[in-house]
Amino acid sequence: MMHAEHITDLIGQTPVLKIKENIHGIPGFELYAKLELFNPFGSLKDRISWSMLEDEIQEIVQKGQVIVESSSGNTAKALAALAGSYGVKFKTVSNRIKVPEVKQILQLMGAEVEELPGLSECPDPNDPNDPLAYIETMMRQDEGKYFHTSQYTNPKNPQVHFETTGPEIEKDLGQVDFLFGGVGTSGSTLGTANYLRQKNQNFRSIGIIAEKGDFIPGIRNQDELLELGIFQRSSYEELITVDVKTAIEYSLELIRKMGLLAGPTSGAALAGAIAYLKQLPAESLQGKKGVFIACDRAEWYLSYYKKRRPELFEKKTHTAGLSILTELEILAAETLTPQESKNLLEKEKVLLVDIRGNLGFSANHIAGSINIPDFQLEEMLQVGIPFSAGQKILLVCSVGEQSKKFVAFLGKKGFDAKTIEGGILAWRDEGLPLQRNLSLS
Amino acid sequence: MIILQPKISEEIQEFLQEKKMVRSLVQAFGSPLNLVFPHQISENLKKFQATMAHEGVRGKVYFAHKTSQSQAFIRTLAISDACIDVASERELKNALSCGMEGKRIEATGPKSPEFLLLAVMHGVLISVDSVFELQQVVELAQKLGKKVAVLLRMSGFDKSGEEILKKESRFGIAVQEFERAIEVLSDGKSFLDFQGLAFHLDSIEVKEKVRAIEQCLELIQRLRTAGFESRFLNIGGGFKVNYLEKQEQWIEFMSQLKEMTMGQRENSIWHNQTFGLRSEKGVLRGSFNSYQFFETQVAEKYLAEILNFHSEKYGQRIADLIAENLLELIIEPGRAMADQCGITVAKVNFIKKSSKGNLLVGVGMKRSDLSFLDQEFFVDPIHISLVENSASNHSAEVFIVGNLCLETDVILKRKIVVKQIPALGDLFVFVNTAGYSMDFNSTASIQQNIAPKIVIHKLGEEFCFVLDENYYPTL
Repeated sequence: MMHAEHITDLIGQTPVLKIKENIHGIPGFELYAKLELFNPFGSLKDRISWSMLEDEIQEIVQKGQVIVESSSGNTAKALAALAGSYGVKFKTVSNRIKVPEVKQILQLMGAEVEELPGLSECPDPNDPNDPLAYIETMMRQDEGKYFHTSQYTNPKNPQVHFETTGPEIEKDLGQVDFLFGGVGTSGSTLGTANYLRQKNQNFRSIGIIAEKGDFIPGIRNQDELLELGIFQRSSYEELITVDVKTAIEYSLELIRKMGLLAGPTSGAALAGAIAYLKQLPAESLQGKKGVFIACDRAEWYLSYYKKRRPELFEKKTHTAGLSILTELEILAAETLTPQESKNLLEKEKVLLVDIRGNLGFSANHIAGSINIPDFQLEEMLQVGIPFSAGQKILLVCSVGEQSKKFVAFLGKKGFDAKTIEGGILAWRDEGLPLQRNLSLS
Repeated sequence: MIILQPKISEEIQEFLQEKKMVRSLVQAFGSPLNLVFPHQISENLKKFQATMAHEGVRGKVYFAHKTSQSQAFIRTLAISDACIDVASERELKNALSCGMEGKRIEATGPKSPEFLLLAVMHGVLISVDSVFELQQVVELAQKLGKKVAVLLRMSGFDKSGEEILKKESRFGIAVQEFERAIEVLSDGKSFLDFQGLAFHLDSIEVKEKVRAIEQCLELIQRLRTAGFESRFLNIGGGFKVNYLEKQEQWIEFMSQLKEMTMGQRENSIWHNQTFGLRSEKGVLRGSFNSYQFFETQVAEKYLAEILNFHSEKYGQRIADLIAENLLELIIEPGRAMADQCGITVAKVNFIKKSSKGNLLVGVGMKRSDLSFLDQEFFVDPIHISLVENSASNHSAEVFIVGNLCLETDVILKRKIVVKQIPALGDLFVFVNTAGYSMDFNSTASIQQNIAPKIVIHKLGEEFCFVLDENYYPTL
């Protein structure tokens, strides 16, 4: 089906991808990823979002209701897209949205995002600080205005996986022996497992949960399972706990070795699958098949990766840049007191460069200075020196620290550069004159 | 039963080895007894200062006096380069009498006319809480022929743009009233020494603080066009503290509390309380409404996180934005400054059983001697056994109850484990109580003692003690 009438026609019918044996490391075992990240809004939540709306959408449109859900991720994205495609509004209420890109994409999609305030330093025992309680109050106050999809308790959540995800997997792979999936609302693993179990008596469903402490997007830790209305412990043969580090490690395996741009939650599912399988006797896995759910893409989570694996994003250090300076060289940078600087500026032809950001520069600067913010000057210096040879240079920054590095660097390159000790702050404290760009302030 | 092992500084650990001294102190001064270690507060100060220097901002630390009434703390800070934030007339008097000069004092919070007058007389920096108060200050300054240093305390940020739901705040000048405040500032210009803006958010969320800082920068721009140059940006307090030695214990306790709420585990909390959690149709609802006693992003680390936050709006680090705008930072840490600066000791008065057969250990203190705004103190006390060959050598689970004839006077609502059943005269030590847990809520109900404060300090290798009001730090 390559010709779609409506975006909802493109939900589901996702492919499976065979994982290379050298990645899972279990000889003779076939492991597949169910590529839920191929769904139009980017995740497995597209299925439940549509199923929770499908029967009621016409009525919602007629009544002009606002769709509301407590989600800080994929469900919100899918509901926002669906609401938009039907011309109705969507609002999500959540505790802090921990991944900024997710919030930005929701804003881009026109969703209304409400975040509950952060915890107080002295919490008030009478304050519920609970998104679901907040939604309930909101719905009571404005009866009929909202349609709450309620993913955590809605039976349509597991049902749609029973009706679609399970049969799709069976169609593509035949009999499957293991299902591995992150437990978020628990709907996908519950519904899919219920279907696959009917086809294979020895089928086993393994839920992947997160270690307590840090979080893996979209999946729960042991305690948070208690918050789920549809969770059934008996539906899982085992729950495997995966920590954040491992989840990221395995998502990198998928990204870098499989060409599959899957996010940390998919990484957790793969890691959990391998951890579970490795504890079974190898011979019992010969010729067996397992499938894990690759629920969404890596791009949503760049800042998540960045925060936890900053080294993946570090700039290659340019040998020509400031980073080659030693502490001693920086300490030895030539400085002038504010008064000496003023005298010099009055006596000689000196180029005064202010390396602060433009906001600070426009508000207050020394007359006659030019503003080149430090990060831009640093970039320039990587390709060459933007000053005329023999030109005397005086650099100034906020407190006189950052500018020392540039002075040291320029000194090393044979330039006559100095900086104002204590920066603009010291200059001001001496009562020396500053001026402002009025038009800019 | 979960152990919540307290984090204890080396100095206090060493002191607690001196069992005889601890016992003598309780005998001499009664139970409960607050012991303070003022040396530590200067260490905590240095950490904040080092962070500001490292991140490239100039700034001042104003200790929030409300955290503790100890004079020793203030005398210790007075000989350093710290400042102090006072929120009442008596706090102001105390700060002055402990050696803080008026220019190192900031008056915050709700102010009586008397408090305001005294503050103005001493040249205190006034963090102005309302337009009404600003008018009061102008009037006072006019009558006294003084120029008064003021910060405008702002609140109600973020009216446009992203939605973060906010609780109504009783403090500060609402952003909508800002223009009115500028008018009053302009009218009173010759009597005011305008210093900048202040805020304090009732939230530990870094993002919200960053947004407030960004908005203050906008307001500072607006003030510039009206002819007011800001020198300071005061971002308030709320710097977190870690009370516990082990994160696993806190995580495990939270798990057990949730299981208790769901009825999956026998409840070991007094009267089955669940601290904001509840079970609804088999699903866990609500949220844990207490201080997080285990924290990693504490004090100066939390400050560093704010300062290193990259402002999307301006494309720069918060620290750089502050410095470049020629602003100096003011912070008002309280709890974080008092971290590891004190302990509370109480004597065992009786052992008995509750009507349901729980073992109760009665100590010579009341819940309000420890509990800040009736919040639970989720840290195990240290049991100091003084009796040799105690009758029982087996561990037990007990509730610690207080000395008021009130059902609610239960010191710790969590049942705790003691290695042996306490005997009469044994001591319980509550660790890290100097921040809000010593005197904020303490009362003399039914004429029970209010704990005196005793300073513990070292002279050479030896621990010495002195009444808090008599302590002066050695220079």
